[in-house]
Amino acid sequence: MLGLIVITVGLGPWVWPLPAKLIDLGARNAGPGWAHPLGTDQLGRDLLAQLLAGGRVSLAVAGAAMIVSISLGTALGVLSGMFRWLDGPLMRLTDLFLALPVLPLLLITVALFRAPLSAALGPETGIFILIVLAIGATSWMSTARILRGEVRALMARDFIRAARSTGTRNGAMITRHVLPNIIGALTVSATLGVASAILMESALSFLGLGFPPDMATWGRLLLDGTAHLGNHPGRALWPGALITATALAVTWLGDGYRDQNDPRHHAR
Amino acid sequence: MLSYALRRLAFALPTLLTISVVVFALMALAPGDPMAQLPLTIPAEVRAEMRSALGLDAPLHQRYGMWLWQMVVIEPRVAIEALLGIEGNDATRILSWQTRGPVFQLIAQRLPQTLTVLGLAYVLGIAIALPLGIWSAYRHNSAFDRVANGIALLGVAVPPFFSAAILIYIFAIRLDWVPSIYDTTLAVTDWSSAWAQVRQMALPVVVLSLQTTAQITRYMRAAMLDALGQDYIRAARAKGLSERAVLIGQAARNSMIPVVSVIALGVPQIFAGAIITEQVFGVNGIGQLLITSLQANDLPTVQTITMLLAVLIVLANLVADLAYGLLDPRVRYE
Repeated sequence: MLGLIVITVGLGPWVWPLPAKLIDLGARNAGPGWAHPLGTDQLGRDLLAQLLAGGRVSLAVAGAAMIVSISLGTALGVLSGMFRWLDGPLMRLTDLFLALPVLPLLLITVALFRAPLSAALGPETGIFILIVLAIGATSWMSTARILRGEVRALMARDFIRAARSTGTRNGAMITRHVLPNIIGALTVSATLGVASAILMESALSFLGLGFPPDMATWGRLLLDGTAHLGNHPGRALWPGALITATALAVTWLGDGYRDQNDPRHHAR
Repeated sequence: MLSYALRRLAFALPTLLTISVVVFALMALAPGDPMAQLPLTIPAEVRAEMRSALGLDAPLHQRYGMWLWQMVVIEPRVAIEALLGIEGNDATRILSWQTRGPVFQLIAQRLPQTLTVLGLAYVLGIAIALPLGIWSAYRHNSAFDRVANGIALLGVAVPPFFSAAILIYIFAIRLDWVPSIYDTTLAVTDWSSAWAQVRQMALPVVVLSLQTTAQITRYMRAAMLDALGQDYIRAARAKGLSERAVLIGQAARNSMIPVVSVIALGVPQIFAGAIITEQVFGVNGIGQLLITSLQANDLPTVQTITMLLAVLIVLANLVADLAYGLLDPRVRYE
């Protein structure tokens, strides 16, 4: 199902050629039909085309935010797992970030920094970078904690001691021995990170603090659709269903992967 | 136990202090200008006067110190004096830029709405989740377990703004059982207005408790599964205890230890969820206050609410730690 969503959204313009921003005032508030399979909104924009375009933005944000948070989490987790003297300060930092009220802080960051950034980089790139960085910077903590545990367990193993005795330097140690051995845990937290980033981005958009209105993401479409829930329920239900389905599919993927790799689950 | 509690407390204070610096710095260093929305026709010297009236011309560390002093000393003092009925204190409180009134007064106005909806949702969520988790662990892999687990997974994955939209569509628009907008001016005076209050609270409470229920059910089920596999359960059964006594007295009691801390840690989360839910249903609570003051660039209000949420998170962590230490003596001697 995830594959289906990603492929359809990725191939958006080929699947459904109508441009998302095309305003057709003659076909305002149209119901589902051949010309517009899911109907149109109050400006006559095609909902299917908007969903596909919005999905590309939402998935791109989620993917990029996941990469930011995983990189941060891996760096901190590996460092504090490998070096005792870094462990204390880095874990205190993690605890501190865990105690931050994330949603209010994200709202504040986006609200305060959006104008200057979009002036500097253009409205779309500016806000894209801002949202990706903000979500990434506030969601790396669980990755760091999990990886720290994994790395610490790894450091006590014999092959690490063997590698150290042959004079392997720290850099090579990380890339050659540590990272390949924690790739499983890394993948699981990456998938879970994508799911939470999708939900976070749509929450921001839903509160009106995401992308500008003409650059529709799923959360934005849901916000616009909620106002017309009475007459045109499809406008809110479709984007919402897509958000939920994507988040669920990604979570299942992560859960399934963990079950496969965790021997404790097999035993049960 | 006392030294354990003190150690936890000793860690909480520097955390809060650092968070306050982060929250303040983020807002003070943001490139936005609170004067930006004023007309350009205002002359520069008037603008400068307005800035100093808001206290914006003071250096950063001074503004931070002032804010902290107001948060920690002045506001609690005002609250205590209000409780005791002492008048005539004219200390400078934290003022909202939007209303020019004290921020804590705004918060006090908004808090009851948030607390009634949130509190009810949380209590309801816990009351449903605990039996659900216990029973689905007891009947592991049965049809009941599968259905409950599926619903719990759905409850975690469906964002509140979408479950709210679905519920509004079904119950408010199609069936017309409940209003879709929360009316805060409604005063409960007789039975019919009480019923109206119940009806308008139904949807926000259900949306919020859905998430709580889903999360706590999953934890409860996992903890129960762990507990039911232990030797002392077999011993209890061998001793001839009834299934009921084994389930409630032995397994549930032990698996409550981690669940209690999950319940404590969930409190700040549900406050964050309330930001969205209040926006959807138009409940004029704390979350809506945060959003409106954010849009109006009312930094003192935003700072204060964010800081209060941070305090709530740290407190919840502290309560979770202490509860864990109280319930499980092994934790105290780490």
